[in-house]
Amino acid sequence: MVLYTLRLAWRSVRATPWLSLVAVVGLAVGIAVPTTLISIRYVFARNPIPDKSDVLFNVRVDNWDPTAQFFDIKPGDPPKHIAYRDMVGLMESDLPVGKTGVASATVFVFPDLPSVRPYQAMARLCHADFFSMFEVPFRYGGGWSRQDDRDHARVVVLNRDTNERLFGGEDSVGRTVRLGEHDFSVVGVLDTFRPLPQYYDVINNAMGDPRDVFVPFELGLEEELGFSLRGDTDSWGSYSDYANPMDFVKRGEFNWIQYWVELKPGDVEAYRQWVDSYVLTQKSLGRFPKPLNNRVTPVMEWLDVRDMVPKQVTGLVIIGLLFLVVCCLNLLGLLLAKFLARSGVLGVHRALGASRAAVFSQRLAECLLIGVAGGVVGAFLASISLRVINATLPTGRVAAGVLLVDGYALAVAIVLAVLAGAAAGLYPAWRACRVAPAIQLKIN
Amino acid sequence: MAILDMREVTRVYRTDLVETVALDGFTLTVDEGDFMSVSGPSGSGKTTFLNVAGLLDGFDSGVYLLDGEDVSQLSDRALSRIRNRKIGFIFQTFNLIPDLDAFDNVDVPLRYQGLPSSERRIRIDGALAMVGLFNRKRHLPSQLSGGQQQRVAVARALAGQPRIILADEPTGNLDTTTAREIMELLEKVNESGTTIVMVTHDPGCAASANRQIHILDGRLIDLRQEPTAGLGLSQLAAAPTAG
Repeated sequence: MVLYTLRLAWRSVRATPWLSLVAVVGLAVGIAVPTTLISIRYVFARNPIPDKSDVLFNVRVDNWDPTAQFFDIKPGDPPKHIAYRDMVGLMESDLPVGKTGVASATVFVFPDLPSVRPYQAMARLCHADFFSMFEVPFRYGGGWSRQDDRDHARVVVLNRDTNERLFGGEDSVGRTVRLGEHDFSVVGVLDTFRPLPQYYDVINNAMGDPRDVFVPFELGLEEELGFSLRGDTDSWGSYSDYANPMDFVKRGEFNWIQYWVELKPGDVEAYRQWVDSYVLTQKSLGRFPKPLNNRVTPVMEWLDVRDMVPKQVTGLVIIGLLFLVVCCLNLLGLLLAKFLARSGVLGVHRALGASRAAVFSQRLAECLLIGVAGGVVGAFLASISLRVINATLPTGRVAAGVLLVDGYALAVAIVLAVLAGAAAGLYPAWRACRVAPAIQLKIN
Repeated sequence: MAILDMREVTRVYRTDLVETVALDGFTLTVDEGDFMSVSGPSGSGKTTFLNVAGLLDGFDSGVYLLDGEDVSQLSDRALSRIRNRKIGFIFQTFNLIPDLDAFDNVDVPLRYQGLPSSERRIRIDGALAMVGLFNRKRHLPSQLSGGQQQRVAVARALAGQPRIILADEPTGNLDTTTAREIMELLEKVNESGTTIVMVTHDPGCAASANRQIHILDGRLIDLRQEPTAGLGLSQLAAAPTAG
C-alpha cells in the first residue's frame, strides 16, 4: 500500500506539472538559502577531531603588559599565543602524553628535478608529538622522534602534494630535499590530511591547506637554515633590550606560538596547577607582572574562544530559516489550492473505499515528493552558492570545506525539505481529508 | 433479505441562515437482488438519499441498516471498509480519475481491499472484458468516449464484487443508444444477483427497474404500493423532473 500511495502521489504531481514545478522551485530556493548558510556554519562549528577533542588542550599563559588588557581575545583572557621561552619552559612538564608547539615559516625548496623550478613553501614548525597527538595519517614513513627534536635533526615530513611535486608521488622516505641551502632527510609523507577547521592553528590557517613541509620546531629558529617565521605575532616591551631580532623572538615577550598538550583525563587539574607553578616561578624571576591568568583549554572550547563560528553566520542561519518558513507558507497555499481543486478525485477515492487516513497519507506523500524534489534541487543550488561564495572570498575560507560540505549540504537539504514538505503539507492534507466525500463529489 | 433498510432517516443541512430538510423521516427497504429506480424532482432529496445510502454522507436521526449492520455509530475506517466491500458507485459524470488509465481506475477499489496483484489483475481484466473495453485498458479517460468512460465506471463498480450498486443518473450524460447499452449492462449485472439502486429522470430507464420509487420533499413514495403522503399520481406527474 505504501508503494501504491507513492504512485498515486506521483500521478497527482504529474497531473498538475506547472503547479508542481512552481512548488518545487519555490521550495528549492527556500531550501538552498538556509542550507548554504547552515553548511557554512557547519564548516566553522564542526568538531575536527571528535575522538580526541576532550584530551587535546591549548595552553596559554598571561605574560602580557600589566597596563593593558590583551586585545583580539575575549575580555579577561590571556594572549592567544605564548612566547618561545615559555614554550621551552612548558615543555619541561612530564604530565602531558604529548606536547608540541605550532608555528609557521616559509622556506625555499630546491627540487632535484630540473623540470621543477625552486619555489617558496609553507613550513609547519612543530614537535615530534604533533603527528600522534593530531592523528596525522601517513602514506609513507612517519614522523620524527623526540630525540630528533633534541638533536635538531634535519628531517622533514612532506605533505602529499609536495611529495607529488618533488618525487612524482613515489615513496620518498630516505631521500633528501633541499630546503633553503641545506639538505633535509625525508622521514614521512602525509596521506590525505585536512582537518577542518585546522584547530591546532586556527589563528593563522584555520581553513587553508595543510602546510607543505613539516620540520622540527627548533630548526625554524636556526637562521642559517633560511626559514622565515610567518604568522600572527604579538609583543610588548622594547626591542632595544635585545641583541638582535632573533634574540627578541627567543627571549622577549614576543608571543607567536600556539602550544598544545595531550593529557590523560585525570591529569588535567594537575597540569593546570603545574602551569600555574611554572608562571609563579617566572614571576619570581621578574616576568608575568599580571595576576595568574593561565588557560588550559580543550579543542572545542578553544574554537569557541577564537569565535570560529562568527555571530553573523548564526544570525544569517536564522534569517535563512525564516525565509524557508515564508517559502513553506507559499507552498502551503499552493497545495491547499491544488487539493481543494482536486477535491473531486479525493471524493472518488473516498467513495471507492479510501479511509480518511488513506487520503491523508496520499496527500502527505505528494507533499513529501515535492519536498524531496525541492530538497534535491535546493541542494544543487546550495552547492552552486557555496562555490560562488568561495570564489568571491579572497581567503577561500568556506572553500576548503566545500567538498566536505557537499555531502553535508545534501543531507541538510533533504532533511529540511522533508520537514518543510511535511510542515507545508500537513494542513492542506488534513483539510482535504476532512471534507465529507459527498461534498467532494459534488465539487467534482 | 433486506440489503438496505432505512427507518425514519432524517438529514438536515444547516447554515447560519437556512435549515434545509433533505430527508424527512425517510423509510425504505431494498431487498437483495432488487433493481430499484429512484425518481423525483430536483431538490427532492434523491442525491441526499443516495449519499446517505452509500455512506458518503451522515444523517441526523433514524436508523440505517446496511446488510443488517447498523451504520450510524461506525468509525470512518469502518464506513470506508463497508463502502469498499459492499457498495459500488456509478456516477452521472463517470468520476473516473483523470490521471489513471482504465485498468488503474478499475484497480482503485481492489487496492483498498488489499487483494494480491494476481487476483486484482484477473478481476480487472474480467470486469473490463464484461463491459467490452479489455482492449482499451491502457487508455486514459480523456482518450475514451462518454459511453466508454461510463462502461469503465461500471467495470470499476463491478470489480469490487459489491452487494449493492448505487447509480446516480448513470445515463444522464449519454446519448440514447449508449444509454441503452449501459442499461442493458446494468440489467445483466442485476440478473447475476447484484442489487441496484438507480436514480434516474429517464422514464425509459426507470422502466427497466423491477421496482420504482419516487422521492418528494425528502419523503418516499413507493410506486409499487399505494401513493402515500396524500399525493395522487396526477400530482406526481405534474411535479418537475428536470435537474
